[in-house]
Amino acid sequence: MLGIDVGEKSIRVVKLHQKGSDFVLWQPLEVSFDPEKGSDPIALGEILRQALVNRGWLRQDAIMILPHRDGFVKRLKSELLESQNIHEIDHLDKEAINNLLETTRKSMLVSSEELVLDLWRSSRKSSDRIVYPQKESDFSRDAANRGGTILVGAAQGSSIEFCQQLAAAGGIKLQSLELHSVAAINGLWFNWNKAQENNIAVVYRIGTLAHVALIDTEGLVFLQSFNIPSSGKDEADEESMLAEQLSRVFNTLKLEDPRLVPQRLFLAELKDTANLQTKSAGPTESLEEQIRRKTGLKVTCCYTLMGIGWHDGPPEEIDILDFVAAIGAALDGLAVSPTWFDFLHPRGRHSDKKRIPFWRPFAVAGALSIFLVGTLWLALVKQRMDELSGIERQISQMEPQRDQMLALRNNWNLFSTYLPESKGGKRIEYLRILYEINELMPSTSDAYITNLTVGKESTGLMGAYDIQITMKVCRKVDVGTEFIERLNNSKMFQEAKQAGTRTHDETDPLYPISFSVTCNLRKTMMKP
Amino acid sequence: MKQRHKYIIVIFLSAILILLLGHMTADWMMEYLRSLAERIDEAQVKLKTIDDEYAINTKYKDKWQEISGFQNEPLEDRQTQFTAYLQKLEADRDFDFGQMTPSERPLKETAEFQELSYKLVFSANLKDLAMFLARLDESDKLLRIDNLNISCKAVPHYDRYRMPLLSTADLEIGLTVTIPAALRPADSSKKEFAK
Repeated sequence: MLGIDVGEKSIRVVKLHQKGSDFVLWQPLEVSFDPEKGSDPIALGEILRQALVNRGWLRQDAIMILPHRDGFVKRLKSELLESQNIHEIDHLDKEAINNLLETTRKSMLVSSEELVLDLWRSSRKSSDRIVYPQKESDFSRDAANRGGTILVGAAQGSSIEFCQQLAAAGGIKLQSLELHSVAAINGLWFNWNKAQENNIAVVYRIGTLAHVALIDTEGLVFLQSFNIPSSGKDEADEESMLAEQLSRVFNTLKLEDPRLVPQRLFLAELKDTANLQTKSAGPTESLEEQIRRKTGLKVTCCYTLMGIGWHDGPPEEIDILDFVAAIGAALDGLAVSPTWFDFLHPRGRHSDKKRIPFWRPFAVAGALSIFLVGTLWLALVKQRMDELSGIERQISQMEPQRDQMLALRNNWNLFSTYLPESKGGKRIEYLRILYEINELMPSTSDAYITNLTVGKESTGLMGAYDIQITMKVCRKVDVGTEFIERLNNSKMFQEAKQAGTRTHDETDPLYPISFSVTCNLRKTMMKP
Repeated sequence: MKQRHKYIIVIFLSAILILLLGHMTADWMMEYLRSLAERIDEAQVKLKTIDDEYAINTKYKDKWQEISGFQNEPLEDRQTQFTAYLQKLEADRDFDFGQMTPSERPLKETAEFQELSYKLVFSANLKDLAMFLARLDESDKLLRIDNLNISCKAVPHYDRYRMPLLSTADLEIGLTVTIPAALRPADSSKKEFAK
């Protein structure tokens, strides 16, 4: 986990790793830059990227610290909550939270549109990483347990945007944005976390700026940053003023809530090299004594970070206190810090959404797609099944009617041969048959008919009609043959042929030859 | 092998498996929809065929209903009425049909009807025969001539300007006239039982 502290002249980066209860720190990295480029996040990002590439730290998770002048922490009093709607189920409703945020905005000297707020609660395990109250009930319960104290972190929106652009250009996976003051106090966690007292104070001085924090067993209760009033004469004067200011702060806290009284004070001091040109190895003895005298507290000086391990051995030319804020940010990322803010995902009026794992939208979209496709398919299947069953129902309804109609049609076909054509029937007209035979017969001087038979075949009602003509003819050779040919060429008869052999009757001088011709009616004449 | 590589391989294999399963499932779903569409098409064709048949058969149904009144007439009545009709034709032409007792023959094509056949044997000249046949051909009654046999009883005198058959009146005629009728109730029940 990387902790990144962007200062006015340099960027400080630490890489911290946790193995069980041990912490390992890599060689800290400090990248200086031209102060004129300090307002260009892209340029700073490029510089940072190059430095991270050289260290092999690119694309790693990182917590970045907001510039210390662009954010602060405010503690709200319990009376404010009591006037709100804490219901009998210990629930602070949303409207109450919004009123609380409004009140905070009004009390700060920054335009409310420019301000980004984050809330913090304390009731959690030390290893849990909870950025803001997950439920409003938790939020109010915590407030009630600690005398109604709520810490509201505030930062400028432009600073947050600056850090996001810098992180994007720098090639880091930005996880969170922390306030400088909170990060600095958290960075000293290695020194104060094993304190025996319930309430402790932690003071981190950077030149003329001091962060003062009050920490109880659950975490940060109070945090204030102030510039040390000084006449500019010498450092002793500044230290005296700092001790005086600390005494006033603690007295004010005590008046506000008698439970907020520290029993020990941890002091870390980093001299401002820009103003004093010298950096001490730790706080002066006189400052420690002055604080002890004016506040009556036991004072523990922090000259270095206790219990931290080095990956490549301790560096020789680096004062680790320079990197306290960056280390505090890294501790945030490792979920070790008891108190933290996250201005990348702040708890605000419109920030109630829970973090969603990156795969969940895809899984939901996939499941939704499968559901939609399945539903669409089922709808199509149902529509087609309905259509099919509708048609089959119609068929099953019509089939008996069709069979009945078919039986009636068969009846008609059966009995239409009993009706004349003038009535739409198919009855054979025998007179027409006789007429046609008469037309096709040879001249009466050549032949005459002795017997004519017209009969149905026994194959059924619709069978062919057989015709047999027995005739006597004169001696002319072609009379019979021509008659048969005319029968075959006629529209009424077909398959005409001589039946049997010709007989000769010499007693009949005019028609001595006798023979029979058979044929049948063409199908077209019977109109099936 | 690094854990990350293992994850990549597992994810890659899972993606391939999901793609294969998805492809198979999609194929099966589309095939099922296609089979349903084919079944619908077949059913629609069948329905249309039935509709068309119904429309065509409606015409025959109407025709059948026009002539189907005979099925409600008692058999004896039909016999009596048709015998009277033939007797009238007989009287008109001075024919002698003799005894006219029809024979009954069930129709194999239907279980509800039978045929009554009148076999007529008589002598006539050609002119009267033609007039008689014309009356039968043009009759509105349900009747049908099944057999006709015409024989010359004697050799006609030869005259080159006349037809030999027309010149004589000595024709022997055999004729079978058939009419449809309902089955007798007993016959009908027998046929039904046989089925």
